[in-house]
Amino acid sequence: MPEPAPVQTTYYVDVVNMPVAAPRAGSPQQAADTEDLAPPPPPEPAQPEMSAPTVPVTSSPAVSPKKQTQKQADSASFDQQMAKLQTAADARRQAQRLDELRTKVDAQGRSGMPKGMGSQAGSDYTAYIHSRLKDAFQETISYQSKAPFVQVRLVIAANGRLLSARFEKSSKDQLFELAVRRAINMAEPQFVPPPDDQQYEGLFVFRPEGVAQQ
Amino acid sequence: MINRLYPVFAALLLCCLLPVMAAAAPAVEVTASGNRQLKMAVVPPQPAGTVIRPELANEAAEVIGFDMAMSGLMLTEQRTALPLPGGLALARPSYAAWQTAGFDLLVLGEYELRGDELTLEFRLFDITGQKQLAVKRYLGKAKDLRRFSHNFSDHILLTLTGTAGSFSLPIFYVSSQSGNKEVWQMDWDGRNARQITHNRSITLSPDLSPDGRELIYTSYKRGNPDLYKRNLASGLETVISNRSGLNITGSWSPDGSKIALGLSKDGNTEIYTIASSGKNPNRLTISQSANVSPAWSPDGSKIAFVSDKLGNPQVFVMDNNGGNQQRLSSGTAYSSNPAWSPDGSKIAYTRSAGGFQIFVMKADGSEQYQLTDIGRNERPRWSPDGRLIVFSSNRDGREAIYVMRADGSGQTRISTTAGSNNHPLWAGQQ
Repeated sequence: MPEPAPVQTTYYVDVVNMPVAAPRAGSPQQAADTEDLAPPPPPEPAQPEMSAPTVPVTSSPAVSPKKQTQKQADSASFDQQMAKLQTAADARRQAQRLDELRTKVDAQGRSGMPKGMGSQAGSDYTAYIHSRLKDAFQETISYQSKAPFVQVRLVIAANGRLLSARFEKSSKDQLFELAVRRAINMAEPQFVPPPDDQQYEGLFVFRPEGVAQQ
Repeated sequence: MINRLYPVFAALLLCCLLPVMAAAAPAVEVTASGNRQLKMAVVPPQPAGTVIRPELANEAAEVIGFDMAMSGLMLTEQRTALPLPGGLALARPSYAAWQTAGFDLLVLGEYELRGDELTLEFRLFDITGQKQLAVKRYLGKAKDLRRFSHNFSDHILLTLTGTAGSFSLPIFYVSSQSGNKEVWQMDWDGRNARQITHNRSITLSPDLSPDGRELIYTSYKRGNPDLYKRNLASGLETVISNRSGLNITGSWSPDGSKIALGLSKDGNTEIYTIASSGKNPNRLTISQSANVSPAWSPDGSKIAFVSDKLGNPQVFVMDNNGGNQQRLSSGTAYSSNPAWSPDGSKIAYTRSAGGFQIFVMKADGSEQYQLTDIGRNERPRWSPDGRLIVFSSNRDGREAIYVMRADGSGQTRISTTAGSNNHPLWAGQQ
């Protein structure tokens, strides 16, 4: 029997989709009973407790101390007003931006967010499958021609099982085809169900790194 | 009326186009760096009967391991494993254990000996895919064990690459072991050498007919270098060209109907074609210089040959009717022994470069590169699958037969017969 070698466990950290626990593109619709669990709206910006810093005043022997004190008070009051207005404008802008984002998400959803379909550009699920395939392909790549390539259409069932891997185009390098098949076999156990519990279909082109497209 | 149908047409067109548009999603590119050599474990076949001959099992595993290593596609390792309970046909190998040990492919086998009768079975498994890729069962004598093992090696390459190996095909060569230069035959790995001709004379330049049944060669058995044909099954030898002067460097056409050779019946040596019976000579070259060593392209449309019409011998190519002659080898160095690769894309030849060395160039003469650099290396011939090149070399003293991969790697001496060994020819090639 072969000598047992230490098993190396690979942990995948999907940096792009950190907010989503699963690599699926989010749930199709947010359940009504989860609305309570939604994060509270951002708090109103608090009034600054401290007064605005006063402008340092250089002493002038020609101005009396009383006049100088009144002038300082007027200036501080003006600065406070300006700071309030500025803060209020910022808060309005922030709230408006949040409203826009909420409207956008409510309207069409986004990958990795509620109502995401998983079919948008940069879809998480395609990226996830690509990542698994790439890792496996690195372990199996082997070829005997100069510029091999294989175009494969993968169909993944709603339960995450690979339904079919159809080789649509190939440079006819059989060793390379075998390497791609082995990569798909190796990656398959790590496939997860596609978003929306729908069948997923994706087109992937395998080729050695640095080999130009024919 | 037509105006009313426009929306219907538009809807139909949209219905037709929508799926196409949906399917036209761009493909995602999956790339990886490097080009891995597959790692194969070869386990000696386990006994299926009462007779246990571990030396036979080990020999079978060694043959397959060496063949696969020389193919250049994989690294092989002979491993022992516990016999599969229930035999090879019923049990599944422990894929996980083999994968943990780092193997991509696994060869298991089973043998049964009853007297001299041998039953041998091999199976090839894909460890990653966890499936059986190939199985072959052989029935024969115990002495056939190496032949069966070579055959399974060929089958492994066929399964993995689509092109069978050439390991079960023999190599013919000229050896002086008997005291005379005679044609011999051996397995590709140098085993099972046996003498073919017994002419007690000088025998040169063997070439095999495309059907593998007849061998032609030049022999001085009657004083003159004449061309002979030998039926390998019956051993019957007939002279097919004994014209005055030289009858040398015979080469079968790919369809077996003609033989190209060098004849000097009219003075200097010129390239002719004759029918396989030796009749109907047709002169292809006309010059004041020597023209020898014709080699047919695999499709039969061209003939490469050697001519010294520019001074030193150089490799030329011409149409099979003698027209359109072009020089292929460059420089002024002595160049000879052209041999086409089985796919017709390359020509291997000998060139003087600090001693004779093996070179390979594209069939149009471009991209010439050197494969050997030790000793004197001559007469390259391709294996029928184009993966290997057999040649003669004196790097270890006397001339011996060597094999290397088509890129020049893995140069290995294979002939073990005494004396000088040269003029190799891998059976099965054009």
